[in-house]
Amino acid sequence: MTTAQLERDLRALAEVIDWPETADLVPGVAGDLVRRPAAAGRATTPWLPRLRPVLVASVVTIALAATVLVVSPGARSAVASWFGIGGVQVERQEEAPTPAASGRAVPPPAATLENGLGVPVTLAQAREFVDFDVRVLDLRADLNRTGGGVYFDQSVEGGMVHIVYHVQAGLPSTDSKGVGALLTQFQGGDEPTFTKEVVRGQDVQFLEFDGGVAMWVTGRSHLLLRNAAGEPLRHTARLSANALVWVDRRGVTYRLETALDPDAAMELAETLK
Amino acid sequence: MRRHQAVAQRAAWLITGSSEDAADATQEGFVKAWRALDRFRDDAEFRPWLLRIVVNTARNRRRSAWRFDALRVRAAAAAAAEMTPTPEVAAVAHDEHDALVAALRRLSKKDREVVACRYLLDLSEAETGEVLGCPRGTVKSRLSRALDRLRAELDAVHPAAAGGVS
Repeated sequence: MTTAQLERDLRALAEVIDWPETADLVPGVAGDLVRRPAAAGRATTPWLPRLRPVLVASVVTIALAATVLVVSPGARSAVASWFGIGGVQVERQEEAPTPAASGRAVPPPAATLENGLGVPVTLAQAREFVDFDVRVLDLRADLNRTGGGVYFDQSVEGGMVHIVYHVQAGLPSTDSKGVGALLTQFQGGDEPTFTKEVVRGQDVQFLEFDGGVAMWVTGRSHLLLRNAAGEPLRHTARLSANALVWVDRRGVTYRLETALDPDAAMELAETLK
Repeated sequence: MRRHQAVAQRAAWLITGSSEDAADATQEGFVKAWRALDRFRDDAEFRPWLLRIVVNTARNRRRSAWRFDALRVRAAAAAAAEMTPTPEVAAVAHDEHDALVAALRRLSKKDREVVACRYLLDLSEAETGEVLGCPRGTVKSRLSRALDRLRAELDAVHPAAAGGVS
């Protein structure tokens, strides 16, 4: 038997090995980052059981001491597609992406928040346009008229719904004048539909929320919409705010941007109905 | 992360021989990698860097690593092979796969790990070197010696297998 034949046989063997089924470790890894803050994450730390998000029915809010990741420029290219929650993928870059860097002509960010969100619709219309149940926060808003704060964005497969809430009691203003919260929701699968580009120095924390794990991304960020093939579509205007990202049991991805702290943001997110 | 978890769990499974241990070791390795990202060199390849952390984590869980105790040929693959070209030929192929697994188990641990990385996990020589912590040239020489010994094992136990499986 020649070496080439033996190599071929070994590769053929790899094809017929009874490999164990691949476990989805994303919830477990994220859960462990919640449960074991980095400072305590030594080799001697007892191993904690993998998190089983779907088994936890009630909303749990904890973990302000969650892992804080200070982004390293050295990790820039390495962590593309490294971690995601639902349809949102975290990538870390030293600088915010530019149209040139994205490899194709991309319009600059919209001048105002609303200009970048899609077509203004009523809440009833938005619910007709998408296959998932559009949920709303328990906040004062006039969502039943066009221009009341609901936007339908069809640039991604399946559609995306944005709801803008204006400043009100308990909801401070973000950098976008008069805007207190931006709630984005879409049916996200395993593949990220859009990417939150996290620039150098930003923090990503993992929080236990809604029976699973949420990402808490702080500071100025840049968001890039991608199509199903992963190609950049356009930059979208977003608040320079903190974002809570999570997925519910039906696979709908939510992204809530506010000027709130994580506790308050989760408390607000719990009002979704 | 999902992009790398399959190969990482396979590597950990080959080391530990347990799917449960493999999942735990991979998860632990991923958490370590996430926390060590600031030490990742920008000019390095990410996958082998990640796999090395997972492999080392799995090794620490099992003193006797890369034993291939749980390595089996899929029953479904054997059944499918029986359809073509003839049941007799398929049965021979299946037997020879089993003989190859048995011969792999008789190799030294150092031989098993380099063969596993290169052929069973389909890593490149460079990736294999990164995962095992040795230069690419060392990978080439280790592979060459491991294949010689594997061939000798096959010839000694089952001379007919010298004709190949495929």
